[in-house]
Amino acid sequence: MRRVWLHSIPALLLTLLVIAPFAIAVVRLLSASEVGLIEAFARLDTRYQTKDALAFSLQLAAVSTIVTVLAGLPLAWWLGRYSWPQHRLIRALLTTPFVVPSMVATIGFISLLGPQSWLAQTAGIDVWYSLTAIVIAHTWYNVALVVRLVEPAIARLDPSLEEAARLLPSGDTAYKRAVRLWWPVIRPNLAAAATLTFVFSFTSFALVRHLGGPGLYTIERAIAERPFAGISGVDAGAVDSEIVLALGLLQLLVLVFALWLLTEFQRRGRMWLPLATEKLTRKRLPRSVHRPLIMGFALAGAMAPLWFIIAGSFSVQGEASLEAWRIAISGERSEWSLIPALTNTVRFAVLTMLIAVPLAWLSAWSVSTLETQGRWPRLYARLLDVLVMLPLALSAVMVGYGVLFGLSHLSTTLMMVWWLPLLAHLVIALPFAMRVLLPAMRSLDKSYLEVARTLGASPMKTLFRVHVPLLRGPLIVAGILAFAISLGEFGATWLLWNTPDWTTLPVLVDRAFWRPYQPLARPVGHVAATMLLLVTVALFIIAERFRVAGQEGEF
Amino acid sequence: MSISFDGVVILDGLDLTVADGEVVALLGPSGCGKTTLLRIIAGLETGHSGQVLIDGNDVTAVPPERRGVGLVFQNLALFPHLNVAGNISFGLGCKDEEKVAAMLQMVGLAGFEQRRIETLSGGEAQRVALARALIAEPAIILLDEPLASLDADLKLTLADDVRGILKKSGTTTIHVTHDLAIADRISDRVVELGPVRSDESDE
Repeated sequence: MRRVWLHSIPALLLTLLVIAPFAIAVVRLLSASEVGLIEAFARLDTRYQTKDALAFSLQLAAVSTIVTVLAGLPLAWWLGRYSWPQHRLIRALLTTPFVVPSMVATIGFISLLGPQSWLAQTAGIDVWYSLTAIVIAHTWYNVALVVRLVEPAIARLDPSLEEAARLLPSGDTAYKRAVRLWWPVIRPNLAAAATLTFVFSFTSFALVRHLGGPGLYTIERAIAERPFAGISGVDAGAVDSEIVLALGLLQLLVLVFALWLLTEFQRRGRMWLPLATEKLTRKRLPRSVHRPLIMGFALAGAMAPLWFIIAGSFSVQGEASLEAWRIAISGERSEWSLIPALTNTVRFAVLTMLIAVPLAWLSAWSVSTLETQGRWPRLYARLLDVLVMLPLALSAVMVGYGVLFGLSHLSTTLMMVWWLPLLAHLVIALPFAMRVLLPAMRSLDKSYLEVARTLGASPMKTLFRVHVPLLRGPLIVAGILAFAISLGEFGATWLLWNTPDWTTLPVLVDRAFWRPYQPLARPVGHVAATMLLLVTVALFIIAERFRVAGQEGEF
Repeated sequence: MSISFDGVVILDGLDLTVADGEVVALLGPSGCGKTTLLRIIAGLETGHSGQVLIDGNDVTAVPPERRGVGLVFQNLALFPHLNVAGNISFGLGCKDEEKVAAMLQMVGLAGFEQRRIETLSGGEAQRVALARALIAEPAIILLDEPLASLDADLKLTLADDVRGILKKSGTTTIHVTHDLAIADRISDRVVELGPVRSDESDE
């Protein structure tokens, strides 16, 4: 048990970053609210925005999940089962939505479904400010998730399994094979995708804020928009403490339950299946009209919002124009200059990556080393694993509240330091980086590290000459993921926003769309969203190159 | 020396002394603790009772990188991100091209410097692993089931080569195997490890 101190660093840091702020925030909210916790729950009924928030969140998440699964499953099946022309491209296009930052996607759907859209004006389809609009956006997002998680399970199954099933009486019809072979193969991944869809839809903020209009509030939106104007400052009393507290705890409960379900699905689903390379398993696409037609429709649907985001940046008041780009980049009107926001965004993203990846590495190393040792180390490893994953159960806005009330309490000067939002970005990015590094570290043959030691390499040399180079791929993927998450982070940054140093591109986009009467506001918002979109998609393409085969099922 | 693992005694009361430059084989069935013994000598395993002495010095508390013990793993563990020269020179402080070339010459792989690890045959990989362990001039070299992954006919030829290389370098060697033919071929002395009291070990 040498290097005990090294193993305790991640737990210590995480306690400081996650547990302590959250605990302090709860205590402060409790003491600031005029009523007790029970009373706070009872009062939820009396406010306009909050009385239906739980019911609406559940309804929205359930409908989104059902529609997503129904839309995503056939696409995943056709993509996994048949060999399509331009197969890789189709898959990349279908899964792109998942990496698009939420505020960027929101812009796309405003252009696609909003009152000024072609759909509303010409086709007369008006879904604006309705559940339908939000469900469409959630489906667009999460079909990507279903395809990403389920398609590999279908494409990789050794074909001899299906051939064997065909020869047996229990598998001699397509229906029997679907029930007895394919459903068990798909089920664990589909369940995981459905649970994640539920979680993401349940905590949806940017989309609900803009597509939900004045009447539709998820819990996330209800607690985020409590401190009116977003700048009520440090004083917890200025926020409706009891509402934030009660709704926050309700949301936490639902999320913890959903994530528990997710780990259960993944644990039970971890069965051993003979795998084959994809090329072997894919069949020739049968001649039919409906498959290419539906696939084409899905591709168009996946790309449409993205197209509208970019197109909108080249149009001012209905006229084709480069004015928005010029204003955004030249900085001649400081209120619409994107350069400071871009600098802030990139600064946060780089720092998030530089801090989250080593911390995730250290945590993953601790967990993977200690979980194979005696009873106490094993227990510590499990605790640490849970600790790192905990932020997944906290929504972005809740992380924001943790930082706001938990950390700013320590000193009021903290409320102005430029790096405060960085803490929120770190907490949110860390679990994702960890989820990439931990499986890679677990599957790395330990003898590489041991042989380096016997060859005289110090622990440091072993780390930098052997361990890091061998895990280069997962490290790059983890880094890109942390960078991209920080880049697109909206909820926590928006909630914390206090000084211009904290204005990131997503926050700026949100603000631009909140001011519809300024002719340049929306076009500049489109420019910012286009920048974010292009960078994120470029990162996604790079990350795909470094993804180790067989790890597609991870994030 | 005694080794126990999860409360099960694997090796008990073992006292092994190896002379300078001697090649010793430890022969025993799988699960009898051979690999664990090598890992203890190399310093990769702690929590055992007893002592490890090298040249009369107690190294039980010395970390593996300062023991001067070379270990060739059963799977060889050649670094896939380095080429042959990179692997062999890993144990040297610096890139000493002449020394690497001389070592490759000795193991019969002259000119292999730039080859990538995944292009090596089983026998070549075995020699590279041996060269990598020998180049740092360890006091003892430990071989865990050498040649285990090779074809039967190649095994015996390579066993002679391995013995030749070890003798040429004059390095004290302990290797473990469950294959008597290999043990005989490589080593000066064969020590048989009996199964531990059968009432305690099911394996």
